[in-house]
Amino acid sequence: MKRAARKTTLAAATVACIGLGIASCGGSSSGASGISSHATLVFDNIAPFTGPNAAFGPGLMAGCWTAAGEINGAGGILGHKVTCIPTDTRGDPADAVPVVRLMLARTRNLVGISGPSSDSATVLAPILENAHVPAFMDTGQALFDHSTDPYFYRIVPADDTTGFAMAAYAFHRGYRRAAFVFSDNLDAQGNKPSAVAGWKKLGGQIVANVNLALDQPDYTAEASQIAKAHPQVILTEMDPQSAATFLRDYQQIQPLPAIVGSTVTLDAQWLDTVAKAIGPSNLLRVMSGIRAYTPPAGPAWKAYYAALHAAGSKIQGGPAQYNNDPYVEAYYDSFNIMALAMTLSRSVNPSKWNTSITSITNPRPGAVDVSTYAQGVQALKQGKSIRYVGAQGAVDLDKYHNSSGVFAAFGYNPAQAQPVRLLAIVSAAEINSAR
Amino acid sequence: MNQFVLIVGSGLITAALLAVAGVGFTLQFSVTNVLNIAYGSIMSAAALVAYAVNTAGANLWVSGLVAAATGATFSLAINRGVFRPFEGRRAGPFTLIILSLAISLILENVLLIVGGPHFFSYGRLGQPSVRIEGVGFTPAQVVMVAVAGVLMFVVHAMQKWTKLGKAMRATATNPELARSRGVRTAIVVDLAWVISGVLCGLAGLFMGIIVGAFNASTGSSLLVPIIAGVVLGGIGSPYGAMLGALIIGIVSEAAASIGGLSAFKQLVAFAVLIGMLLLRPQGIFSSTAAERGLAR
Repeated sequence: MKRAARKTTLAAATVACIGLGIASCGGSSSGASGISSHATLVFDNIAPFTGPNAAFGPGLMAGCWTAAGEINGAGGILGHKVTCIPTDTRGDPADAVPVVRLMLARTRNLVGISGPSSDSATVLAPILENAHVPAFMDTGQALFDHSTDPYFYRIVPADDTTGFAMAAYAFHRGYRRAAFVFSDNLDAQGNKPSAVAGWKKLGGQIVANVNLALDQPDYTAEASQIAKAHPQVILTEMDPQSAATFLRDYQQIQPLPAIVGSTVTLDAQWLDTVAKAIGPSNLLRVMSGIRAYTPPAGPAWKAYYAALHAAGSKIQGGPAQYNNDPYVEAYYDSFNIMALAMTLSRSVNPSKWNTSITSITNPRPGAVDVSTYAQGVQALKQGKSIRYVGAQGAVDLDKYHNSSGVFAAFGYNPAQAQPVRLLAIVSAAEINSAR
Repeated sequence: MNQFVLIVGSGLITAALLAVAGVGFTLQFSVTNVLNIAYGSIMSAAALVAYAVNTAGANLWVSGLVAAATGATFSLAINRGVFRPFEGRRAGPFTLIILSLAISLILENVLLIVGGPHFFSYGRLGQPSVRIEGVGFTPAQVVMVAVAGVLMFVVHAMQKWTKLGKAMRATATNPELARSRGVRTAIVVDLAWVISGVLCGLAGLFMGIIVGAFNASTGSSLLVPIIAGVVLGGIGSPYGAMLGALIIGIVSEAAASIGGLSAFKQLVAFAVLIGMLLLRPQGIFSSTAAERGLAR
């Protein structure tokens, strides 16, 4: 009877732990407060690995494996090796909540998180805050611009910046009549308000403004409505399937005008999918996409490049596609920053080293710049203050733990090893003219 | 006029897909009483296999045969391997729905492992050479609508004029009575799964042609409008599924062509569905829904 009662209590406690996502249940779960001396530390990557945004997940994992290889190669963090695991949100908040709760309850030695993306960031943010594990989120949503969560960090640009950059790029290339075509999902809608606001501020004319229902079998009616307005340029963010269908249907009505897409439209999978649907030569002719930009040069980028290619087969689809991907560079940087913060605070307990993150990223008098984890460890051992300037460039976190960077327009490059080519830098002055 | 042709033309193309898929779905349900949620995943499987055959050099007609065979094989295998054993244990309808959901998830994930997270596309399949009132359609779209029409007629003929059709209708109405009158209901059920699978496979090919790009989960994403068409027409009625698909297809396109409503095209179609069901809960045609307690 006693044993049965104990079993019931244990089962109820387990269910409660999983249900509530309590990090410290059982003493062996996340939070990593009781990590044994040589245990492998875990970085979790919360992103869609299946569903319409399945392209996001492999990018996070690429950043993680690249950093993990470099960190382990430098002896690990305070003697601990590190590894990377994925958590698949399917891009759906309803799916994301239980899988993340389960991950938090089950993952031993979890020390840091990359992600989630915009599709589930809103619902996951409070859960991650309660878990007391630093999370470098992959969301551009403006609602995180003033986050007060002490465990929240964002070194990818806010969505509203991408939207302003899209409008600025299109306008400064001479286009005046624009159609705005965005999927009606959270990710795509994140960029739209600033793109529209920026276009209006610049004095451009909006000839069509359409939200597309996601993944419909046919968009002929929508394409016809937009084609009638004769836009010079389409500003857009759509998932690959919707984009392929919409653009092919548009092309069936009249030739495509110039297209200026968000960062999503520069994913290798997006370009590959749309190229198949409308033809590579058409995509080459009309397409440009905007994303944060870091020049592929300098010691930090070289270290990133070497580590990326050393990760080899661990990178889904091959490392070359991420040679100059600011998002993957940001993920990579975020793991190095976390690793250096642990080294600086001499602790792998997230609640202790979390407060050291800004000491690693932000400029301080007397701090020496380091561009790799190994350099940082060496400098710290010598008793120096350091500032990590990684592949993405300098990170300067504001009081809300946000940091953003420079943008550029890229075009389609049919050579699959490097699916995009640089078209033009979108300067800060151009972006600011749209704000 | 141009707008009308556009709405009807686009609606017909969508309806061709929904009708072929819906008739297969409802035909199997009417005979077996199993709501097969894995139907969308089987569509994806057939679409991927057909695409592989097509890229290997086969034309779309051969790809269609392969898609049909793939759908039939999966369908029969699921019936024999999963549903029949559970029905033998007197599993209730809810258990069978959950089972089909499990099969759907397993199949989708297997397809993801095999095909990867990539999207596949047939591209443009020709220039829009058929023009009505200035609205262009590609030959592939026109042929697809025609093939869907032929398939609907074949299903109608089979239901109406063949022994199998009569046996299926008898099994659907009262399996015990049909068995006592000499109908070999187990074979009839198998054949219902096979025919449903053939239509499901062909719908998978249609899906591949209509959408700009598809992957392992595209079929599942279309399951809701397919079921909506089936329910609207009257669950269990092939003719109802045809009409339901036509209504859903055209209403969706009409909504999309009205400014500001394109994001809500499915919602508008579902609003029509709800309105229709309030007036006629059993759907437009079917008595099956009422017989099975799905509607009064």
